[in-house]
Amino acid sequence: MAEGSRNSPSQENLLLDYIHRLEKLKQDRMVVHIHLSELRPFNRRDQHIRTAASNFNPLVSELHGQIFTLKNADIFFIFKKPFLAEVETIVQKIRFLFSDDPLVTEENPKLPAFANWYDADSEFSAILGLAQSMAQAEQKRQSVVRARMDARAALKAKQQQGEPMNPDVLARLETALTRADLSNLVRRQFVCSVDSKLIPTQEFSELFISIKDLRETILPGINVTANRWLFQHLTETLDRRMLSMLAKTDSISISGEISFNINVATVLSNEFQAFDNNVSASRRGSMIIELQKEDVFVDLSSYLFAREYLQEKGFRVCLDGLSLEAIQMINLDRLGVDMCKLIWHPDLVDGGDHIHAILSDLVKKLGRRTVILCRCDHREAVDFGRSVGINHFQGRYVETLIAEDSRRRELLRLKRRIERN
Amino acid sequence: MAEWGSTSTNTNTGFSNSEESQLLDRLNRIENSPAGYFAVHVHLSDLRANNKQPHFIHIATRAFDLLLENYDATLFSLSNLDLVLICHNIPVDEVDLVIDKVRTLFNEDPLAEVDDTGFEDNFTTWHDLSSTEDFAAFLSVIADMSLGAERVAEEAARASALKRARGEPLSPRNLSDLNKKLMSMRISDLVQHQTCLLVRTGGDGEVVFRENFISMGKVRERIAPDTDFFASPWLFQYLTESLDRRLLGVLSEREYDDDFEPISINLNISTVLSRDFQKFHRVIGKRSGNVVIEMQVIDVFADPKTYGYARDTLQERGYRVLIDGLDPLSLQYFDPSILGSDFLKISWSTALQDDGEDRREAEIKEVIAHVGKNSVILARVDTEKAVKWGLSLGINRFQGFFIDRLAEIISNGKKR
Repeated sequence: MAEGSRNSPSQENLLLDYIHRLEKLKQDRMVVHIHLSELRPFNRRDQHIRTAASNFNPLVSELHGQIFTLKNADIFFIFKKPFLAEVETIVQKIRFLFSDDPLVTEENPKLPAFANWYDADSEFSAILGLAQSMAQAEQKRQSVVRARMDARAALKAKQQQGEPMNPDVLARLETALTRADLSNLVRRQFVCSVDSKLIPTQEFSELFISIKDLRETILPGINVTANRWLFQHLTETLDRRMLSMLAKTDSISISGEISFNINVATVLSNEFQAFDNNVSASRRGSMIIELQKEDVFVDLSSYLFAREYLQEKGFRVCLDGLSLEAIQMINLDRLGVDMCKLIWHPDLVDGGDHIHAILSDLVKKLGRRTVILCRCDHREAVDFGRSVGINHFQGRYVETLIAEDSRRRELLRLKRRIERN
Repeated sequence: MAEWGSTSTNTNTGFSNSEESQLLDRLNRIENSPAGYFAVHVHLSDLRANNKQPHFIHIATRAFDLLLENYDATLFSLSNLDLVLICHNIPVDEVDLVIDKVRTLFNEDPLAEVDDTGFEDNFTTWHDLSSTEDFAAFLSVIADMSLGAERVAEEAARASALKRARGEPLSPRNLSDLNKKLMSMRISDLVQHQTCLLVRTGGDGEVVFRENFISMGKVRERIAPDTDFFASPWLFQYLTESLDRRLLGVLSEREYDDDFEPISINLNISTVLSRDFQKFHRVIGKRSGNVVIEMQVIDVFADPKTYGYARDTLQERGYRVLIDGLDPLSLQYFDPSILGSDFLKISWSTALQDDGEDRREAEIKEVIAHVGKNSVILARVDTEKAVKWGLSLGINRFQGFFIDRLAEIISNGKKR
């Protein structure tokens, strides 16, 4: 995680570390501090900061300097003195990038200079002080973030998502579910490989019962996901309904390769075996069973047995719901899944080179096991995924890519028809 | 664990109708013209306990369905969970296919391992029934088992009676009522202790902390003896959230000296971030260094990010953090060192001692070296053997029934 993890140190701490080590080499070095944190918010987006930082790439790859991009968007670049002229040109270039921002245009004495330059030899203590204050500020910011996960956050969740679910509501809901026709709540979202031109190729589609729509139709005003454990129990009921719908092919269309999410306990239940009896062997090869990581680890023996059972029958198994923390912790290779889904989060980008390296190593190491980046709502997610070697994506952005692609194809068809006439 | 559909095994009541006696009948008939007959004995009774769950056996049995439909074959499910397949004129390769399927299901069990020479196989034994010698050997094995079957059947009947006695399963329908009872019941007298001991060479020990906990079993006895609390792992977890609040309530009422003996408490992550915990923290204040907060690994998996917040908040305030619910199996599938906790609690199981498997032991050793042996606590230690096993791997912090007795002896010794 980008925040608060002992194992992925923040850029602020890495900077402080580096400055400590710099003391021995300070004769030969200079430091430039670029105050991008003072830019207007709309100029301070991740992609702007990344573009700015990338200007230093040639010098960094030649080992002439070291760059740190802090959480507040400030950039620190520590470099060898002979490269001063080059660095000055780069900083000037970055200035141009933001030429419409008051930080650059206005001569406002309240604003700091765009960049501050330090000589490591004569001004070492100033540099050290600066790095220390940056590290402290970051630590403080983290505690503030944590402190906000309190009553206020709970209240806000209640206002936005409704009353938290309780056992009585769960009991009512589960009774209603056994009778209700859920086929109109089944949604489908595609997993696609996406090429460099952002053209998607559909690999398979995930079928799921929309919890949001379920809430609106059956239980308006109740937040069904408020309690993790009650929600988990609910999913076992939903699993059974999903299986019975999948067994009756007339209730929902299940063309192409599909995946669906169920509990390990459901895989080992009589309902699943009845479902399996109704599925032809060839169909199993086109089905992917998604399992949640917490469900896997609540009873590993059952998971291992269920996985062998599923794979032996011809199903493929996908581990769902992985966060950055989980993906670093779990031995995916050993768990023997065919695929895994990593949830997109801006922290993946913000984690810096350290996290990027971890991810690309992991994708390489997993080799034939497919890594899918899911919940990609924006282009940034797909760009990031591709940069670390991930080729499979799922999410709202991917759905728009599919829509655009089919529009493009439709236009092409029209054009050809016109040309023919 | 959830209740699973009843399986065909273990439902035999009378001796004469047992699968064993039916198998004996069949063998007697085969004896007259044994040509082409062979038997495969699948030793599922030798699986590890956690792989002998009824639904596992049920699924394994189903793997034979196609063979039984297409060939002259009969499957007997013995009362000790062993399977016996009687085949007549079936190509061995066809049978092998099915046996391999079943073996694959139990891949993680040492029983299913085939050594490189392919010489030893503990998973199955094959008998050529047309050979008089082999037939006699197999018959005597089954005859012995048949005698034992009566006892096994009795045990199974007792076990299923016990299961019934566990009562009505926990469900959303009774949960709310139970929760209300749990929140209002008298509870302070149910708080129990268990000591975590640092064992030094020479048999001396030092208390690391005493875990304070409320046994769910005791709570059940008091408020709902007719309900099976363990029927759903998720609803059980829901109840523990309430139990957390009760325990914190009791502990917040206590008085603490400046150098009170370290304690540990096991909490849901949601509880750590709750107002009840803040209240407890006001009582503990600067003495938080003497409190260890234990969190369950499933809870961590469910939401690693919130765990990260909880851990940092606790450690910044001076508490020590412990991850509970690990076992040697799970350590092979994920690396707990990334969790940044102060302690990891690993449950001992008897499977470890009779394992005799160097590979697994070497792996565990590696994990312990990786996370640092001073952060590992071996829990559920109920025999001296377990302590010896731990010490041999470099572990020196222990918890469990055996340790409670040991701690008592040590403290009595000190008093004298």
